[in-house]
Amino acid sequence: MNAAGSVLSAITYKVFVRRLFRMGNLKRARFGQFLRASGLFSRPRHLNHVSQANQHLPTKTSTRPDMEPSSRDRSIDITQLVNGSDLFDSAWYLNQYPDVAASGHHPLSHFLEHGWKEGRDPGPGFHATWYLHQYPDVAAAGVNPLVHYLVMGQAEGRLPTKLGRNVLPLDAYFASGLFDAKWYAKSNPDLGYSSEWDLLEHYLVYGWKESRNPSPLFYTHWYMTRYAHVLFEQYDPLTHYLRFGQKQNYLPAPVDVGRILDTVSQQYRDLKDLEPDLASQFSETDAQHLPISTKYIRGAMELCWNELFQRIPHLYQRIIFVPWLIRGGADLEAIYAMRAYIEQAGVQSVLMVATDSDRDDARDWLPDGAAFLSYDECLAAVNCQTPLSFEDRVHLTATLIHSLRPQAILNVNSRACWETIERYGTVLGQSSELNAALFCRDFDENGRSAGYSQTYFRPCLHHLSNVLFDNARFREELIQEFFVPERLQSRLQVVYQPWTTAPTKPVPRKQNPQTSRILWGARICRQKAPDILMEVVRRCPELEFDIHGVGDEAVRQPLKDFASQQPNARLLEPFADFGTLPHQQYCAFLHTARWEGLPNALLQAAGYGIPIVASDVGGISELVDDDTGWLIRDVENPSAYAEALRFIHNHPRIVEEKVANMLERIRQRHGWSNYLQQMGVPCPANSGGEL
Amino acid sequence: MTQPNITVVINGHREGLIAAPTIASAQRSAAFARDRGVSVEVMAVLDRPDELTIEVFRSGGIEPMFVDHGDPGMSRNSAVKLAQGQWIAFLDGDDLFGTSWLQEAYASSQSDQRNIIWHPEINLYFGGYPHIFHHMDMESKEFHLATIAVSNYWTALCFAPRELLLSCPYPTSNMKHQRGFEDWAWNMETIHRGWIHKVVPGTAHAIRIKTSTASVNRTATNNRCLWPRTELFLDIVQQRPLQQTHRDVKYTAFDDLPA
Repeated sequence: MNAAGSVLSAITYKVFVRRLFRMGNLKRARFGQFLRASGLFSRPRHLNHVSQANQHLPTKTSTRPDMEPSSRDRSIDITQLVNGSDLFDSAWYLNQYPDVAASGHHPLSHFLEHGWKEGRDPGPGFHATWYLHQYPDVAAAGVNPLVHYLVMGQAEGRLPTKLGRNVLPLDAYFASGLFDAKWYAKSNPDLGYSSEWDLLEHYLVYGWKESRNPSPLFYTHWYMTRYAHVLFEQYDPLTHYLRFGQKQNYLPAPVDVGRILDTVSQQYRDLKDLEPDLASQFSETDAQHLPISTKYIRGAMELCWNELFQRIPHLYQRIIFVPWLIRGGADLEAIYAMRAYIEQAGVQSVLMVATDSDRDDARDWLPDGAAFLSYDECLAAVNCQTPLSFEDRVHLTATLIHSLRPQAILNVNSRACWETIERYGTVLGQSSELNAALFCRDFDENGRSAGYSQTYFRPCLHHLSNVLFDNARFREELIQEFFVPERLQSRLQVVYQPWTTAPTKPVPRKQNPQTSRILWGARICRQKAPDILMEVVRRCPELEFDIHGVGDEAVRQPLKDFASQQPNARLLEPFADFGTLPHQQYCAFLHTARWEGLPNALLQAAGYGIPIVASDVGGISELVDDDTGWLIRDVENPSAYAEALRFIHNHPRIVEEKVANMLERIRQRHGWSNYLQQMGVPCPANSGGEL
Repeated sequence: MTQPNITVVINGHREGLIAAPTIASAQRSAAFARDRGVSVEVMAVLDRPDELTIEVFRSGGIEPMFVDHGDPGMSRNSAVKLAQGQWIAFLDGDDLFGTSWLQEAYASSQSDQRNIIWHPEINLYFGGYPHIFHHMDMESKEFHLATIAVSNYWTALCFAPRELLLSCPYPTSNMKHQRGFEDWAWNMETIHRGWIHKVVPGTAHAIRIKTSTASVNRTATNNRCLWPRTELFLDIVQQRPLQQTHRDVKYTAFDDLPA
């Protein structure tokens, strides 16, 4: 046996090293350095440690005079190398492979001679098949993967299993009692695993990330939340607890689960003779495996609510709900409403809450001192990795209104708030006036009518005190479409948006703008008809087009390609602020659209005295008509737009007239005081923003 | 007649034979307590019951009182008025007390005489999806008051002084006006009045997971109810120091708006 083993080791080693060199990733000098540094091969043979249990095993030491000059006098023994590592486990090997046990082979000899070639693992800590699959260069070399790992792989940063290097020897998890394979399988029937090793591996690789518990005694999600300072990228929570946590008196669960289960057993025995449904449904043993629910563990919604509630410094008269706060038209309208309420009752009277997303890049639009809270920001503040579901957002919105009972709320495009009004409008409406804003209908990719006007207007109307429209056309459309009775029509209010921060007199424009620059600025999407825009650009080579817009890359890309080839078009980033544009240099503002409300960009352009060419859709005709601009009724006809732009370029006097008319319209209808009046806010004497 | 230490109030409706183990568990828990020197009366309040349920209670040795509320909170309030005990222990007509519950709860109430409402530590849910619900103790460092706005901490089967229940009765449910979860609201209101909810270690109730027709709370959920009005959260916010400001909120002058 010894002799045979010695030959085996020598051959295995010779073949191994030859193949390693063939792999091309082993330099002689480097290999020598590694051997010296590793200490694995440097000890004299007589000092090699052999465990009592394996003293009968071959311990042949092979010197390699032909290999590496500096290592000639060094001894190496593959058998010793493998046997001395933590990764070979004789008992596990025999238990895992009964055919080997039955054959009478010594487990180590079997593994070195046959096992690794047959894809067998040397122990629970090394997954041979995975290693070869993960590192195809090793597989191609045809070497024993465990030997490769011990000699080279470990130093190269390769992993012994997909579990990584930080896991404990797998037996330790079972020994701790904190991984219960049977319980894990029963609690997670979706896994369909039967081997306890597979189940453990599942937990260590995936299960903890999915907040599954390894046993009733360890609460993964709670542990991660409670000890949020731990970097769980390096250690899964169970490994962290076993390695470090228990030494620092961390708790594996929020409650004493063992004691709870004792109580359950006792009560089960106590009551099973009284209630047959109890006894027939589960046994006392089953009762030990029942899931434990406890309010000690909080989900994303509870964590978010706690943080949100903590951040509320005082009661508010009004809450404005928005989906997010970005530089969009609806967001600006929410800001206007906030400013109006502040003028009425002070900055502490109103709170804005973003319900649907963490996007808040327009925070600088908030009036000075105004309060703004975001669900996602609250969740991030408590280091909760689980995102809020839509149901969570609805529940938070309902709870916020129900707990604080503001005098009124205004929903400006928050989906969570629309859903809240639909579900809980009856009870919430008893304490708070419920209001919402609608802008225009929307259409999906297939041209089907969509948007909140289609999904929530009808079920919510009877709960709403006011529905605010920024144009009259859309209001009329909904009244017609849904046969809104007269008694409810008074709830539908048109509130024309203000044009604020305007100069006190019309913007002086050059009599004849010495420019041929056209401004286009909107989201780049089907609604804004970029295809028509491109055709207009093609048809007006004498004009230059500055196209400002943001949109999904898929939609933006064709316009980008077009602009790069079209000498008279520039695709620019969206403007954060209309006021930063060189508006006096523009000959006209072009607005192409297939459907619309009354876009704020048009108001802005109008207020700056830029002549407007716009599609006749939605409420645009309430601002742009033949007296105040160029309304394109043949919306899909690029020539009509091109013609209007050329006319503007060539007829400065008529342009001046129309611009003057537009400024008068803005002054009369879109002034700040007019807005306050429409919002039911008394207009202060020194209210700013008037034209 | 001396005042009993405890009155058990069983809330019944149309449980029929299902109520038998409930009655038996209440009687057994009462006997266990009596054996240890605690006096207990057991009464039942049946709200719009059927004939079978009435017969089952009578067979179990309890002459029930009848009410016509269609509201479990109101039924409990009515029963409390007639109850003689210093403490009231509520039990729903299809749930079970652990044998030691009454004696252990009473012992806890005597050893800690602050304003405390007591709950069992464990609820063993059976029928439907069986599971264990572990009650929170308000004096645990894991307790967060705000959470009760979004999640009820305790079942309705509490052990509370009759005086408290008379001065702070259960609120009315009104499904039509989307107001339900009377026990949840009562938990909040008692906290608002300065009472502490604690658990009695090692005690348990067995709770039958109700069918869709029998569960008041499920009806409340289906009717999209919220808990009845409470001043708890308004008062908490109003008591916050005025100088507190929002964290992480960036303020910018409104004049920076796009012009």
